[in-house]
Amino acid sequence: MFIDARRIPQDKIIETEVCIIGAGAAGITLAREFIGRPFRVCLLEGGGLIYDVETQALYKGEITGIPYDPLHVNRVRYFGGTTNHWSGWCRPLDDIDFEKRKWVPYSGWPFSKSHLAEHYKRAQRICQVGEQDYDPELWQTHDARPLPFKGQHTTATIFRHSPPTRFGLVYRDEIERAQNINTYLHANVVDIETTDPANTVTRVRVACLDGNKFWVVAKLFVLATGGIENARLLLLSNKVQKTGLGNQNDLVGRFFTDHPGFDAGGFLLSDPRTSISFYLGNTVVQGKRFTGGITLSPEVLRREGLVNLCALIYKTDWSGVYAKPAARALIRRREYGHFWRYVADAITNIDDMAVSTYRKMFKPEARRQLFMLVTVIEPAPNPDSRVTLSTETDALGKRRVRLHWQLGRLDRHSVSRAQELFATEFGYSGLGRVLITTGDNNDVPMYTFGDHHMGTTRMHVDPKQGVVDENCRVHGISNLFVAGSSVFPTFGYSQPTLTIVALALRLAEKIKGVMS
Amino acid sequence: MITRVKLTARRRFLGVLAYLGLFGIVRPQHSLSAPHDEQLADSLARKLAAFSRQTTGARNVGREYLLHVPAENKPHVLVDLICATGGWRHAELANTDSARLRVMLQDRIRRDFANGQVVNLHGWILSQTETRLYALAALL
Repeated sequence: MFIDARRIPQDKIIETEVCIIGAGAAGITLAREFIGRPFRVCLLEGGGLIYDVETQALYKGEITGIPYDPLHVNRVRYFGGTTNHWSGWCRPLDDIDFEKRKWVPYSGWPFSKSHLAEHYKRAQRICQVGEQDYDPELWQTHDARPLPFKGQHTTATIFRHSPPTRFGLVYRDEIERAQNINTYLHANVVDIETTDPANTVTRVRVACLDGNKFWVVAKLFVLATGGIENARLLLLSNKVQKTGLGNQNDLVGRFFTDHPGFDAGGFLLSDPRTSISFYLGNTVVQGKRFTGGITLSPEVLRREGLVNLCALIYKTDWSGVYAKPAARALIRRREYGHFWRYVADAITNIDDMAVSTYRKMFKPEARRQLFMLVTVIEPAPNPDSRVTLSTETDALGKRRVRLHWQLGRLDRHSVSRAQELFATEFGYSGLGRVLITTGDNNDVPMYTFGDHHMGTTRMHVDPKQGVVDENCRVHGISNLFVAGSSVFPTFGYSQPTLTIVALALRLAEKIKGVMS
Repeated sequence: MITRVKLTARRRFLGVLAYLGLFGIVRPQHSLSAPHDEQLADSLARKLAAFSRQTTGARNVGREYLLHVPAENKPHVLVDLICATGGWRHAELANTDSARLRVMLQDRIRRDFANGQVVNLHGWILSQTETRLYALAALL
């Protein structure tokens, strides 16, 4: 049942067994798992069923550090959460992303990727990308194959594409019909109250923009409001634990990150006939669209001490949302000018005599094209990137968020070293030549990010190193759990939605066990 | 094993040359004082220049390279360096037919990338050998 929280009597106390705070990908996944279970579920969503400006303004906040999209623009606050503007890219994390790596400080999950295998399979279906198969071998067609690199540094990788699944639309009827689930819309949680000492959550305070307020009492609570808001709510809930819930070791809000995309230069193909359809996102295999990428093998990452990363390819005349302006800039960059055309002319002749012969015979105007490389990295966990509370308040009287994001030396070194390795591979394989953009101090321009908010309530078995334990329970609080990308200790380069859903499925199993 | 070439800013170009100098690659191994060797070198220079088809692109890339490395602004020097890098004697290359020579040079170019013997020219990472071939094309 869907209920407008603005119609709840003032200060009413709603009793339930499981209270899920937030109806995005994680919250809706959890709720669906509890349909038909022998316990009541209360799902609290701050927005309504459609976008509204006033509710969205609750997401405004301050930004310091790296220039970033406004916080009320890169998040969506209505039923379905940020899946309402999700682009649909899906890929699980890699095995190495879960490992403790000596060269990546603060790395390591409490479990390996294999622990999530079954959850990933189900997450695939929930995100409507079909069966799990990310082996590039399975995605080749006559015209779409990975570039035939001859070295051992690079491998191909695959991203799958959800329709994209708007969780709020696709799963709305199912949740509305569920007998044991009440969904409260326009219900903003503004405080999480606990016992003293703060080892059990007793209730949450809910406020509506029209001034209405009420309480929800439950046996168990799940915070599922997103990578920034999860931390904010814990920091705001400071009546008993003055630093904020779960923040006894000053970790809540720290380690924030997104997935930065760097302008990693471009490349020319020696043979203009070489197809790169595999990488352009336009190829469909068995009815499913995918996009290929170029990544470095785990052995190279270990040997070189790099974070995980992937290079995406864009045509410089492509009309993709992010590619076009940066691609034009690549061609017109003052110091490069039209030099790329000379290089294109030179290498076409030097790398492959057959190409020369072809052109002599048919004299086509073989179209030379400069392709752009955008390298997306797994940022190294950085405790100095953090969500804190601003002095400004929102319409509900609660302190807004202040976001500070910065990247470190390992991040930039990984991008610039990857450029060099890609350049080596292209040349060694006779495929073409790479243009790199590394400047002084290994500085590579960043020009995009994924709006993936991660890391702010990271997972670790040790409360001195994590906000939640391996079961996503807040350390020190018996009945408060956290869902979503805020629990990621490391981030891979994969988009987080698939992993968010997989972790939510895992958490749902735990909660079913607790509730039974 | 692929050896990393340290590339740093605008000085990366000269940095690469310093790196190559450590391996004795910058300095030619062979002397060309004898007159008959000069003729051989001339002939070989033209043969190597033809490898890049001496296109406009090759010539322009070669010119840019020579602007930065004026010490290599002579065909004989370039020929010596190409032979030294490849471990070839002049006569060996001079007596190799064009098809075989192309295969040898392409293999050398690929090994340049594998060994980190590369040049950064306006951001483009090129093989040292191929860049010298472009330079020959620009001079002849």
